[in-house]
Amino acid sequence: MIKQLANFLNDQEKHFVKGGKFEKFYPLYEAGASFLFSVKETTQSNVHIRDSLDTKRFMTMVMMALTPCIVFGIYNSGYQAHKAVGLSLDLIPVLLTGAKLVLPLILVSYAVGGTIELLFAIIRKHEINEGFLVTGILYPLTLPATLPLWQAAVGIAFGVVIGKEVFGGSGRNFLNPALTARAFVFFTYPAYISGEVWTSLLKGKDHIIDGWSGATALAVAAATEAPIKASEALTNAGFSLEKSIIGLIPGSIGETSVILIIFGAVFLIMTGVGSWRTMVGSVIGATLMTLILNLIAGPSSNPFLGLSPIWQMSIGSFAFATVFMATDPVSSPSLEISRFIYGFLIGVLGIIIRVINPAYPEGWMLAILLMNVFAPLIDHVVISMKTKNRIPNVV
Amino acid sequence: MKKINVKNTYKLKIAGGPKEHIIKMLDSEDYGVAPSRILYIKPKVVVNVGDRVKVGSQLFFDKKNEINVFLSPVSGVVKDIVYGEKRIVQAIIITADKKYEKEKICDPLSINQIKEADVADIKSIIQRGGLWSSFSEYPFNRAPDKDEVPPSIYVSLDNDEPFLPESHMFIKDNEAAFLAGLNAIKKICKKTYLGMGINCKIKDPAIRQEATHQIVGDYPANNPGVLLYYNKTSSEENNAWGIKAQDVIRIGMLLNTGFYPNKRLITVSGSLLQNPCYIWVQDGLPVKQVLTEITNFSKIRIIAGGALTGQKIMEDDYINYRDYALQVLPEGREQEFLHFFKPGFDRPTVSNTYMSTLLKDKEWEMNTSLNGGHRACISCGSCVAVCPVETYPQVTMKNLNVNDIETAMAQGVLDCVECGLCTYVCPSKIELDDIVTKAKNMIAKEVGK
Repeated sequence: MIKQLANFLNDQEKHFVKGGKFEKFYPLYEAGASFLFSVKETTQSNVHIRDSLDTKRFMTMVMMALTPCIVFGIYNSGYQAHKAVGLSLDLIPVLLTGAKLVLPLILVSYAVGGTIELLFAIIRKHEINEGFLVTGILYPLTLPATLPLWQAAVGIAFGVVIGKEVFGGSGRNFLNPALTARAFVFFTYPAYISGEVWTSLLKGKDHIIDGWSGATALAVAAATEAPIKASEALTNAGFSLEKSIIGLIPGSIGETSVILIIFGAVFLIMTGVGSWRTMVGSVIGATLMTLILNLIAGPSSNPFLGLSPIWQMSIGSFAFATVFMATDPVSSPSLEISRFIYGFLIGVLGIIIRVINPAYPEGWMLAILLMNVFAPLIDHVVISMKTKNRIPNVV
Repeated sequence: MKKINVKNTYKLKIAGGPKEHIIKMLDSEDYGVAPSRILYIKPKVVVNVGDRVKVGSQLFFDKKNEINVFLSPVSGVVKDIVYGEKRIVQAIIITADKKYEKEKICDPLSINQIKEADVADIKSIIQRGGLWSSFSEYPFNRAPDKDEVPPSIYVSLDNDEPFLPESHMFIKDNEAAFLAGLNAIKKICKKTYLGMGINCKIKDPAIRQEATHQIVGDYPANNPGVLLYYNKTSSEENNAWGIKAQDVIRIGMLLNTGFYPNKRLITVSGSLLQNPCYIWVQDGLPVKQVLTEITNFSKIRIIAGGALTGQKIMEDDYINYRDYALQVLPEGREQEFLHFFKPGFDRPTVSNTYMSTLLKDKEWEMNTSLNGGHRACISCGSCVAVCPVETYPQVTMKNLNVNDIETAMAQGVLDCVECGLCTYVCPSKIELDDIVTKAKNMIAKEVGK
């Protein structure tokens, strides 16, 4: 059966190659055929054998690392919704509600983004890159479950077109497309995504409530006034440290469970797909900056300044951004040393934006996008320094 | 002896390596040489169909570098000269008379005579003896010009590419020739460096003593170019020469006997063979005669040389001047359903992305599948991690794509030893080796090499 499918696909190839009937749709054929079956292409250069890793496997690894976060995100969205209106907290109904909230977002993201990717692939004549599999799932995971679907659609469209395709597709983009999409939604529809209304609209029979408005941990921390300590305020509002780490709290779909994100991080580092230097750099940067802010914090200053590093790293999207967003290889610098510097600066900047800038509830999206822009510069500086030590070999 | 730790190397674990037994020489009716397979030369044939040739008679030379001559491996009659497209000389075929009449190139020299001989004489013998092209001048890997004085010469005793002959196999019974060759090379250049791999199995103290560097590292640590990169102290050495240990033996044989050395030890290997082994062959032997085990030549690839640097050849080709290995691999692999979701215990990888990474000691049966589609570079950094001369292949590739050759050179593109590891590991299946080699050839053309 499978063999016949393979033969059928191979037979159809003649219609899609140059001169065939559907020459224009070659990217579609290539994407479909190479998704189902490993390629039959052989090596043509003097390197006759090749490693088994391809970009498909590379991106599949990221998907695997994300799977716990996706499942938990679905559960948590349902859990928060049920908790808000006092419905049963049993596993199955919660999961069903969660799926009803989250899956449409994921589907919209894949459908809209995928269509645009395909259009560009046909017009610009490049292959459909597997990178989109990851972009298409990362983006909905950064959204609140309550975001209207059309906004999500507009966001991913912007992210794929401006964040990636106008520069030539995956591999040639300098911004993380998922974050570009997220940033677009954030700046365009701030009312839906600015850290306040996060819990689902579960309509009761009598339509009295459309949703439940509650603050996220960040909003609580930012709104705390001296002399109350930020950590106390958080605990009182239901964001105890344990809860924040386990993740049964309101927040964007994928970001809440620090434990599962750490699991993903370990997986990414073990497989070598995610750069541990970026992650470690970011953790060091964030810790250092938080400690500096702790030093500045006085009795009358903003209590958010005094929040300890472990708190800072457990609330909000620090973990998710560090593990899954900052490590995107395309928009990161390409050398290992530069990745460390890049991660470090993301950590520092993210904390500054989160704590000191009152306009933005969270800092990582902006910190990473900013550092994406600087990534080539970091590479340039590192390479220039390293080439200085080379014995020149020029003609 | 200086120890050199080569960073960024990789141990290729491939099944089908040659067993350590040597098959005696094989014989054939027709022999051939393939000028078109020698890179960077413009061959000018000097024999005609019907001419009688002896072992060591000149067959053709390089029009760009006329001292670079190529000699006949057998005695007999020129049967045919095969021309390809644009009158490329594809092959010169000689019907052997089995008498092995030899053309005398010089008087036999003992090792002491070599030590006392004139440099110009030694050079002239090597040139007339058809072995000048075994030197390659960095950074462009061309045979050096006649009067060129090398800043230094690098010799590597070991081969670590699968599956080139191991040093203890080819040096056995040829110790004297190797030392003679080495002394001749030392005459040409005082600064001759001999690198020996840490796992070298040669016991002979006379040879071990000659080694100037001990090299630690996997493929391609034992490439002479890598030794050059680690050893050079100034940019003057960029034009150093490199030579393989087997070619040193041939130079030694030439000087010791005065005749053209027309035999060599090659490996015949690959997972498709039942009995991969070493074979003493006459140069110019038809490939078919060597690969007697293979009856059906469809869907297999024959590689002359290493798996990462060799040439793709056909079954009707011949053992050529620079071939020390023949490898037979399956062409492509069976298409697999949704392969990237599987654990992948059967997929060898440098990364840790397949479960195969747990099988540390397994030797893999390789094939020529690309193992993925061509994609844009995703800056994963795999290539940088395996570059033995510490360049940044992905950055270089991007520079070369926009024709920024100056930056590429500043970042070390000319140090590239063309080992092919960057291409091997690339998940986007970018032919980095091709891109770099093309750029180097373009630069070579501009500087008149």
